[in-house]
Amino acid sequence: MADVKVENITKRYDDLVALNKVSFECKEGQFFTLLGPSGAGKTTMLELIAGIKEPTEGHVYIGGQMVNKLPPQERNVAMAFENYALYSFLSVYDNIAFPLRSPKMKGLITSSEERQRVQEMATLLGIEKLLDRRPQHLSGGQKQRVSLARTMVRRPDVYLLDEPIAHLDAKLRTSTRATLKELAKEFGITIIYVTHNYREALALSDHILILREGIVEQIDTPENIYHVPASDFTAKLTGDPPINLIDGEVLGNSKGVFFSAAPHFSFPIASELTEKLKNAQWEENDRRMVRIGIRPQDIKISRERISDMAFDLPVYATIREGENSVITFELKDVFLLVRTDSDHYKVGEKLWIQFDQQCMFFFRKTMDISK
Amino acid sequence: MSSVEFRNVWKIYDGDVVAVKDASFRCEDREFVAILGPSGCGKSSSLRMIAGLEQVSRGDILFDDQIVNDLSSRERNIALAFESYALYSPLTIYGNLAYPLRVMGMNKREIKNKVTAIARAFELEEVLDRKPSHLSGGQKQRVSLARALIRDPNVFLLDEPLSHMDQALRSTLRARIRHIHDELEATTIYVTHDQEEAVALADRMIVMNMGTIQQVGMVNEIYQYPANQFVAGFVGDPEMNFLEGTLESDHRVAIHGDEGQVSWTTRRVTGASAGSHVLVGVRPEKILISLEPVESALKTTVQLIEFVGDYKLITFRIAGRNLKALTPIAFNTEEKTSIWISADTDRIYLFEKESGEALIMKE
Repeated sequence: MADVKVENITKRYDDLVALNKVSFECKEGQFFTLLGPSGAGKTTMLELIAGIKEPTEGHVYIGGQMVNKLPPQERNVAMAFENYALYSFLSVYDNIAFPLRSPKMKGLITSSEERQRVQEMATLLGIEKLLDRRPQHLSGGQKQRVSLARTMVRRPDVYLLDEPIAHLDAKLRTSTRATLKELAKEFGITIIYVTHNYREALALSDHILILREGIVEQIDTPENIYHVPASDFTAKLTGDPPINLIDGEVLGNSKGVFFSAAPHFSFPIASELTEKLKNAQWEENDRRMVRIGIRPQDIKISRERISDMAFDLPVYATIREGENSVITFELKDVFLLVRTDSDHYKVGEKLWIQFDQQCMFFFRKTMDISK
Repeated sequence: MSSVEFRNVWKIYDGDVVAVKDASFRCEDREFVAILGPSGCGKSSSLRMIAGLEQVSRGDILFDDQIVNDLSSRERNIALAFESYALYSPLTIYGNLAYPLRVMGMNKREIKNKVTAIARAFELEEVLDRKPSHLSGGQKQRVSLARALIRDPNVFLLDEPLSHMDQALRSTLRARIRHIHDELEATTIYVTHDQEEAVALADRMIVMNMGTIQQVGMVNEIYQYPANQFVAGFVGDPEMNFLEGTLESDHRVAIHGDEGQVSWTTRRVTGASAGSHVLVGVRPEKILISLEPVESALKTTVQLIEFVGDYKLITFRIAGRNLKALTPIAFNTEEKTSIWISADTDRIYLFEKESGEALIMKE
């Protein structure tokens, strides 16, 4: 196993900047995830580490050695691709065993060791009954697990996994995610992982890098990414239903500071939060503005007015979530989503809404949020 | 809009492939019903038969109590929206919305009124002059739904319309679809493999597996009283946990743990006698975890903790099965520590081991 260090990497294609001065360090034995929407540059980053692509600027180090000039086969990394890339003329067994039969591995592994490793990996991923089949007779989810098994069968310095479980159905994804995490812990392996799924990123990683249009937005632990997001962008990436982001005017009078997003939608800000608010606010057309972030579970709703912090809105729609409900309200630019354990509210009914201010975030505006 | 009814409907392909087997259900006027099941369960064949894209092999389909078996798709007046938007790229959004009305031979003035009204409902007024390629995914989806609805159809059929949307967009689009259904007082049938989607939107669900209807009921009823082990496992995420057990009486079950048996009190059991082998089900969000020994609790070890944002997912093993529990973030435990597992009486489900049929009946 080895650590990976990426130093000031820039990747340009003609006019397009895919990655812009990206730096990070994945320590030996760490599970390090690149999280971001499609087009953020996540796969390009993996390809640069694997040596499939060359950086325009910057350096990649594996185990302390600068590898920019090394071809992929000399980097001792294993990569699983989102599009499987299985050999259709080989059986599932031979596909998984393939990396163990490369010229470099010659003489290092006996055929009984090979059988044992392939079986072990196939069993862990629940594909042990498919070993004799050809890839073209497998479902997408099965192919993806074969691809993952083929990557994990070898013991390279670093594993590079690109959306390796994205095509599994929800239940299989949850169990394979757990298998992957146990595997990573048991062998203490170094993994750089790419996903657009925030649950995978939070559940699996020691550290997460949020990538946004080729630029590092935040590098942190899963807990901090979720509880202390550095920007509105990071906050919106983690959570389902996603965090509510609402822009409004900051108004002050002798009674304190108020947040106002619409005539019916304004409330006083708790005095201990005004400092945080001030640090985030911006000026727009001579008005002081701020973007509030609040998660759907941190909002209370009721038929009675709870306090003078509450405001009222008509219900737009109710959607269910297991035994809970998500009540949606329509604001001018956005929807407000509230998670509650009651579903006895009618469309159009006016409800009182109150934010748990201790759970509120204040952000600068770095992205468009209109519905 | 109309009611939709299946009376003993079969769909058999090539003489012997049974896609839908003796299906009967009724979807009332203005109801929102989801047909839910894994791939190959028969839901898409059912949808295609409702739409008139596929002939019924046996049985009858009725709209407002009239048999429609021999009516064409157009005569049935169905609005169908797919997962792919299927918008006409050379036409503007206005042109796309107007298209079904032009086909019907409606005059220009009427078309304009209708397009304006539906564009307002779907908040598309500002993009009417644009081409589809200049729209976001969410906007395209709205155009596709609006176009399906513009003809005042009898039934609104949706085939996995949200499955490729990104997470953030999906929750607002769900709200929109539900709002539009309520607003238009539409009869909506929504076909999906995604239980989360069905639970989110529908009033009632029809759960299918291998061509057969497993259960029809209100969403919360199916959640609380699954008819069999398949439904119990399919509806809910993460999946319900199952343990092996033996009935001791009509309200007690012995669970086989790693360190001997424990006995749990259950609701009243019907249709099985003491000594029967059963599967004991508990949903991950209903598992009670104690960090100290508790009477009648199963001892196990925390194998894995996954932080997934608004909750933690704990994995542990009992009698060779991987089980999961959902806990609040504040719940503090570490991997490899001992925990004791139990569940409240009314949160324990029992299933007959061989057939998978539920043994706890609705009170």
